Amino acid sequence: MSKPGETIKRKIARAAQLLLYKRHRYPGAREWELKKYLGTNYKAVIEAFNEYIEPLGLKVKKIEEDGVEHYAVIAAEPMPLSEVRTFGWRIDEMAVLVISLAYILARGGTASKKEVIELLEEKIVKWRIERSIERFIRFGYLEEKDGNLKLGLRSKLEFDLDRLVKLIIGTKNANESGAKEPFSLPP
Amino acid sequence: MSGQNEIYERIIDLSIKVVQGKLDPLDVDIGRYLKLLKEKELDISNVSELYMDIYALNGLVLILEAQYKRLKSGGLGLYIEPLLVKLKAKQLSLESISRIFIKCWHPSISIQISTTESIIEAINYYNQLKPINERRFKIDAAPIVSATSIPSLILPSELEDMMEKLLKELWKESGGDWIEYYTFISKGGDKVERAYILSFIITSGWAELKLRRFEDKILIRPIKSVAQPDDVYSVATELKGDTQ
Repeated sequence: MSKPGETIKRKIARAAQLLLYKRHRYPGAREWELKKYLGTNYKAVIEAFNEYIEPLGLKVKKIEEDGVEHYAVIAAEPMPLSEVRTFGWRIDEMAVLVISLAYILARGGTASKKEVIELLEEKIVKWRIERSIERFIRFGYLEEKDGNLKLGLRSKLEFDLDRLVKLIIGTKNANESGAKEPFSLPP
Repeated sequence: MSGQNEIYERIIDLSIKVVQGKLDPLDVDIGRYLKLLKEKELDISNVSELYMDIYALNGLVLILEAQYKRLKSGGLGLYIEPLLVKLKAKQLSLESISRIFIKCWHPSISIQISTTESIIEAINYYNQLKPINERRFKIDAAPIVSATSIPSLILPSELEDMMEKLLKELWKESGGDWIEYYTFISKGGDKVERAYILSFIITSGWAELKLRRFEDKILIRPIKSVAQPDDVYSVATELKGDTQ
């Protein structure tokens, strides 16, 4: 018979596998998966796992979608600007996602894709907006249904939406957004 | 009939607009519409009216759900006016918007792994894979008859002279009006060559094509000053019969 300490260690290792190994289109695991493999006290195991990863600058985030809890590991703090650039994000792609998310939130959770494109067209060429939106749908940041856009699971997981709304309202120009690092388009 | 069902149509239209995000759900007075539905004398023997009634009620439920979501997000401090987002999208530079992205983004961490099962599956797939020579398509295509004429068409050394000559001919034939594309390229010389040179003239903006899909016709006319249209696209033309 295994000792209680060994059991919890084994469960934490299992939680790490479930939350970190990519098994679906979306990151992390759903409530029922955790319950199935970690038992009914899965929340305590997740909490213990969270303590393990905290020193690494990571944390477990829980969101609820359609009444189902979803857990995933995210970076505890936003990435420094220089690192984001190396992730392959283009400046206009970031803008497309931010404005899309803000507009969807403003529209109460659903916004017409056509309207979002029109909104962005003033600054970015249409084909690039469309390509970016398609990409975000594929990656799970946005969802499309009947010509309307919704927040995708990854946006809910990876974005601090509350902060995003506050920053959109509060930001006036590049200097006032608290920029310290120089910013330029990637080559 | 439509006058009687006006209230149903109105509610259904409102719910569609709310779902599409074109109308603020909080602008809809659910209570008023429910009262109107309740007051309407429903003919239960009329199936279509019964359907309309159900659809309208379902529409109100959807609006109510949207109102709940809106209030919930408002309570979380996520409330933002659509007009403000539009204004900010115009006002803020791409740089400022991308900085907002960076401040709010906490990327998710996931590890891509190979499991024993996936490795076994890959080995089985590889073992069953036929050699590449056997997998290639073998097409018994007929040899190209006029293969010798192709290299000269790839990029004629006197391309500009040929373009100028053909453009002059186009002006002469058309007098600046629309003429049939196929009639023009069939007038003497090598049809393929004339079509090929003409494609350079069109691409350079010295002539334009008009497609009449219903009549299955392609028209062409020369242009005096080089055109710089906004919407340029390729047109495939089919050449039948003799190439001479």
